[in-house]
Amino acid sequence: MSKPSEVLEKEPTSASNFKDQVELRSPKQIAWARFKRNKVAIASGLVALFFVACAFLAPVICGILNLSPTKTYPETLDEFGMPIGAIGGISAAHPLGVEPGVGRDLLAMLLYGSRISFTVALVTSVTSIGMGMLIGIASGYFKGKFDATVGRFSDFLLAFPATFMIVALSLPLTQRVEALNIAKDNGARIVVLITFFVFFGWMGFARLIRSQALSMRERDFVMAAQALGASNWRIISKELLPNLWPTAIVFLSLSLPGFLSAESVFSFLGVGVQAPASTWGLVLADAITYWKEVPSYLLIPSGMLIVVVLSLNLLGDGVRDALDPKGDR
Amino acid sequence: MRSISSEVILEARNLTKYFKSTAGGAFNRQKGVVKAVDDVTFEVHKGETVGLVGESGCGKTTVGRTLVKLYDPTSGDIIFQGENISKFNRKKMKPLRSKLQMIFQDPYSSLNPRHTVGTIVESGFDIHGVTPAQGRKQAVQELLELVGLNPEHINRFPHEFSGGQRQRIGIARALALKPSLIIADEPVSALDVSIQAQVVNLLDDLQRELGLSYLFVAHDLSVVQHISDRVVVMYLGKIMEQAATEELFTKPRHPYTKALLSAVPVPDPKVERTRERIILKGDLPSPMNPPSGCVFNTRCWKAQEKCRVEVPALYEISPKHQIACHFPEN
Repeated sequence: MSKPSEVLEKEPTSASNFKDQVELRSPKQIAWARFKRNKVAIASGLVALFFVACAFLAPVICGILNLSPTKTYPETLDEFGMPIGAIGGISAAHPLGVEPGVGRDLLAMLLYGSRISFTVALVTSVTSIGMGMLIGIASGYFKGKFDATVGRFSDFLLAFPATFMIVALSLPLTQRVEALNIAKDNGARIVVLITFFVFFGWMGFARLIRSQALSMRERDFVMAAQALGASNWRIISKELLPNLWPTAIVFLSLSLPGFLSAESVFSFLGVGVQAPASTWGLVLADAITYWKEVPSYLLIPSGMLIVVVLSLNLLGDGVRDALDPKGDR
Repeated sequence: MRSISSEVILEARNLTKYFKSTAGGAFNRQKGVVKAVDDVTFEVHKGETVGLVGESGCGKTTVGRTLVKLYDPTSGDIIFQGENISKFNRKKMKPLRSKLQMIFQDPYSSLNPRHTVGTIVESGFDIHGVTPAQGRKQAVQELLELVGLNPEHINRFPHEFSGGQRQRIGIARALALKPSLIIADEPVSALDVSIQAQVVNLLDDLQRELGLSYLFVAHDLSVVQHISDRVVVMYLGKIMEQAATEELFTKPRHPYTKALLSAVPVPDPKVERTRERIILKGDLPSPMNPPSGCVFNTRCWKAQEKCRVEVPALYEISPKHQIACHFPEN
């Protein structure tokens, strides 16, 4: 009889030749390889990346085209305030036309507007999903008193009329933020809006994750990890999280456009960002008044919104499929 | 040939595990206590396979999980390699974990569906921060080879394997840290009979090769008879009888063991038709409210007044044959 150490540590014999051909790949590498094969996901990822890059590079693009989001171009409007020329006044100088009534350049408005819109949507989605993930895993995995306390608190928040709260409290809170010198004007309003969205936005996802963590922690693979001596942190990060990411990604790709439009709604209601700054929501709200006379003013921003939302959703689907071990093969 | 030394590797002394049963809801008031394991004493020697049998719900899985400290025992001692680990916390337990491993019943839920086979088998190295001399990847592939899997399959996911192959992955994971004792919690009951034989034989071979000791929890008596050197019979959280396999299967002394053995079908129609079966009446009593006296008295055909009043202690009826019964069989 040989000792266990001898058997396990013995020199590899004939088997060593083919062993070198297979490389040990982590699930992450496998997922990336699978993602690269999904053409739709790659395309939508590129589209989403393009829009984000445009938002990021808005000052550069406007500088090259010699446009400004706040400057008016009265020479492009006729005596009724309508853009001169076909399709909302599209010309070499104004590639997407001009704003009816005031006469600002639409491209510049949308570029600068997307910075605010994307920032709000991204920050709120990521923060609220991160919070939901943290709280959901904690209450699902540790159960007990923490779960009971947090669960009742989230019930309380869910029962709260959040929309009215935002409308009622945004002005005093904005003033408070300004008084504390955190941000000014629109910056302060954005800070307040994001805080509200996150504060009232994490519960649904937390509940979803909690229920998944609850069922997952009873599975034998968690017990196997415990039997190997894994810490709680390792079990959460290495055993539970890989099973929860797909849910988070689907939820993210749904909540990004959700918050994108929520920001528009609150800007429309006068709670969010105010003119002269522009967001996609503000532009759309304004465009509704002109939809008969200048349909392109409504169609261009809404078309862009659709493309962004669609590409984010498809990207989310692609990432989820890539992470699914049963994806293909 | 494998040798069983007289050295005790694991000993359970008066091991008890009670679960609190709560009503749930906001106040979580306690409804009762489930006596899953009640005063269980037995030992496993180095190189030995001990079979732990009993019907569903008798606490055999709980014994296994308590012994690897997945549950904290309510009372009693667990002595592993001379150390009393019953009060050890997670941190103190960690270095011992590599010597004391577990194989799980359901190969479909014991492997994380989002990890590759390589990651799963490697996890022991990762948790303990060790890198074997030949490198982790090489070590993982050798383990896969050892359990009869293709070493090239390290990048595959569990769902690409059959039940028997998955169980082999679970075994490879348990073997990674070179344990001296493996607690196998019904490792074959979720598998087809043909695959059961393969896995049981694999466990047998590994024992011979690596000098492992097993605590083999099962309810399938023929499997237990095949693999075990000694058998412990449990009923409602208590040990009824324990003896060497040969002795227990030929000369059971406890009425419960006798009834249990009579339930094993004989693969010979003539014998099967004429053999006497003992059919127990009634159901397994609730472990929340076990019968007084001997826990088996409600279903025992020999039960008398004494059985309802006095709890029978485990005693040695013949050398290395212990039973807990007032009126043993001959």
